[in-house]
Amino acid sequence: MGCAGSKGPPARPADVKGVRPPAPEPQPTIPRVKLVLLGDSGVGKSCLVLRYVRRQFDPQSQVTVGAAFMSHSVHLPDGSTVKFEIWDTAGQERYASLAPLYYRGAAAAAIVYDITNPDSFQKAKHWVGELKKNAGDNIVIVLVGNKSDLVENRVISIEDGEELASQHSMLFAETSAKTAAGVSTVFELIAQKFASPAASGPAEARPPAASSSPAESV
Amino acid sequence: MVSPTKPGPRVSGDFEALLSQAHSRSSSEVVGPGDEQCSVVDASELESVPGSEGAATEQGPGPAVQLLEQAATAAEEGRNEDSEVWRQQRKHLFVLTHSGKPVYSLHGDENALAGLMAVMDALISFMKDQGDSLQSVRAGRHIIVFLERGPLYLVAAAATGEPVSVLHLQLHLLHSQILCILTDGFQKVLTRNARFDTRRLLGGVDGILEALHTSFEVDPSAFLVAFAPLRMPALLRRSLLLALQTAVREGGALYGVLLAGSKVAALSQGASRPLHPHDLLALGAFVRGSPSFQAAETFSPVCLPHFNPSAFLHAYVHYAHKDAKVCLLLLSTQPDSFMRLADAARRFRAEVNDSGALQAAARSGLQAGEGQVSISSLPALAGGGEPGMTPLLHFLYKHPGRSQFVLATWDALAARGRLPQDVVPHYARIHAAVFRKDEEFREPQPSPLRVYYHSTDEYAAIAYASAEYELYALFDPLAQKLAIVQICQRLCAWVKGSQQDLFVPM
Ligand SMILES: Nc1nc2c(ncn2[C@@H]2O[C@H](COP(=O)(O)OP(=O)(O)OP(=O)(O)O)[C@@H](O)[C@H]2O)c(=O)[nH]1
Ligand SMILES: [Mg+2]
Repeated sequence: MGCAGSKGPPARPADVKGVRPPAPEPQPTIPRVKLVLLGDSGVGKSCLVLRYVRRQFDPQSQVTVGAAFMSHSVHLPDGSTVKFEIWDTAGQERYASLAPLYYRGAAAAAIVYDITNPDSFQKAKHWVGELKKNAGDNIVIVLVGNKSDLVENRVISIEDGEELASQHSMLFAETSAKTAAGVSTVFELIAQKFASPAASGPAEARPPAASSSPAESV
Repeated sequence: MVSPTKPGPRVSGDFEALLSQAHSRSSSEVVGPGDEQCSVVDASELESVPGSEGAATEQGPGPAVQLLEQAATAAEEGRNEDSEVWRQQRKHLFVLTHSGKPVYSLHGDENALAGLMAVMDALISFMKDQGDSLQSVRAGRHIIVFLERGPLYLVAAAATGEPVSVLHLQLHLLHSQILCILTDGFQKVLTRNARFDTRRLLGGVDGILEALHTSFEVDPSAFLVAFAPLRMPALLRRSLLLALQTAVREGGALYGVLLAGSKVAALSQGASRPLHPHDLLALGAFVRGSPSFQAAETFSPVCLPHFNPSAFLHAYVHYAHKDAKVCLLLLSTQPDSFMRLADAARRFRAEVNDSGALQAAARSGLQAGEGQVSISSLPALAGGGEPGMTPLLHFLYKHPGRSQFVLATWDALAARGRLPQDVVPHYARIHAAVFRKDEEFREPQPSPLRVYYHSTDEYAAIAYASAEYELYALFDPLAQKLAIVQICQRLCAWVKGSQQDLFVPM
């Protein structure tokens, strides 16, 4: 389509698996984690990032063009810190063929759907397939069912989400960017996977699907 | 600011002579036998411009008019609010495929207008049978103009008084804007598969296409083939430009553009591939019509059709000053260049913050009309004065060498109840008359000096066009011609004297 012809970038050598080795900087031990958000237009990817990074919710959130970049440091309870480099991609169809540009070399991906929109759940399955095929075996994937505040419009049950997640060994969470429920859980689940070697308890990482009886008010 | 103590060097006395000759002679006659340097375009020619579609209607009025009636009926049969929309709007823009599938409609939902689109499609095939010359018809208050581009038809129906050449150009630019978003790749898909639904690829672009439409209404960039520079102190602009050039070099970018709202504050480009003003227009609409850029640093594919309609460039986009809509764009051919561009941009911001250049650009961008020249701030001899105290109502000055133009603020016209969207079409007609573009739009070529004068109840309009400058100005209709000519001379001199502040160095 219109987007054909753009080949993804080669991952920078230093960026293999998306976890950059400590840069020669003052804080030499903070791991950087490239995290990409994927999912249909309108599911709330930008709102999730905005909620997490700036603690805001914008009901008038505007459709993303290209991909927005934000970096954000998380301090985990165990005292370790992880710096996220977040790519909030555009969900519009014309960008689908450009997605490799953003997920290639990513350490983690959040595949987001809207629990009130079955099409967006189908789209999420598509992204799962694409990541499994192209993104390398080590990428950490979280499946995120967003808009959990819209209880009466729910179409995709928690079980549907959990099932898809466990089929593909992904983490799972439901969130509401509007109420903030579950949002920091998503980022912390990922951060724990990359926290400094000492604290790197995948020990913390419970078995993916079970990991996440969604930590919010449904 | 230099006040014009002496008349402008370029606008010499024979200017006046030309003007008086323009009046004494009959319409559109060449001034001075054998003098090919000068031609005068008279009002009667202007009058003929909006009506020049007569040629079109003459060739095949019967069936075309029937089809248009069908089109009107189809519009009426649509949902009521949509037929209301159809009748009330001054301008409609439609895009449809060869098989009549709707792609885009400026107002309202393409689905509701599907019947209309189908009739448009029939109309187009009918017109195609008539041969290439048939590109427009008149239907009541509306002129309908067609353009075919690849597998797409573009249609404008306008009651704005804009000449056919300008509407034709707008369709061309609408097509370019779609390419700017998609490249021309989708056209190949559509050619292979006529059932392909292009709208799927155009989700969320309404803001961008509306920004383009707004620019058609309120600024003359499209038909002048020029861009509007941000007015700011030359020294500070110099430091903006240096910092921008550094960022382009360090980021390995092809182009650097600093926008302030709808104006260009600085531009860094290779001498070999200057940005085409129409690519800059598309880029500006792309940025203004994409509010998500204000939320965060963004990396987005964007296609510049004059540069290469088949490939994306990769744009680093970041608002350096949100309130003033000062936005930095670094365009690269490298899809993996974000980090490098972002680093270069960070240094750029630090530098222009320290030098105060960013604040100066922001200040200018926040002024009324984003720093357009206010008539009350001009020297009195150059037509300066409060509305009502000077015969000069408005002006537009183009620097053809730099492809830039300066526009006056609209307050004097506003005081007479005139909006930019009333006046810009007027300039478009004058421009078309001066450059004799009645049919298909061609880019203005450097031309011999032309002088144009036309007076109505509302304004006296005057235009001078040469390879070095173009001035278009509107005066109170009661103003003395001699006064008009003198003001124009001084105004040109003032612009020349202030050009360091007014124009972006290239
Ligand atoms: N009720 C509710 N609405 C939400 C929530 N999250 C996002 N929204 C709304 O959903 C709409 C789309 O949100 P965005 O974050 O812009 O969607 P996106 O996934 O970034 O979309 P693209 O940028 O087009 O890919 C906005 O109107 C938001 O206000 C949520 O948790 N609950
Ligand atoms: Mg978004």
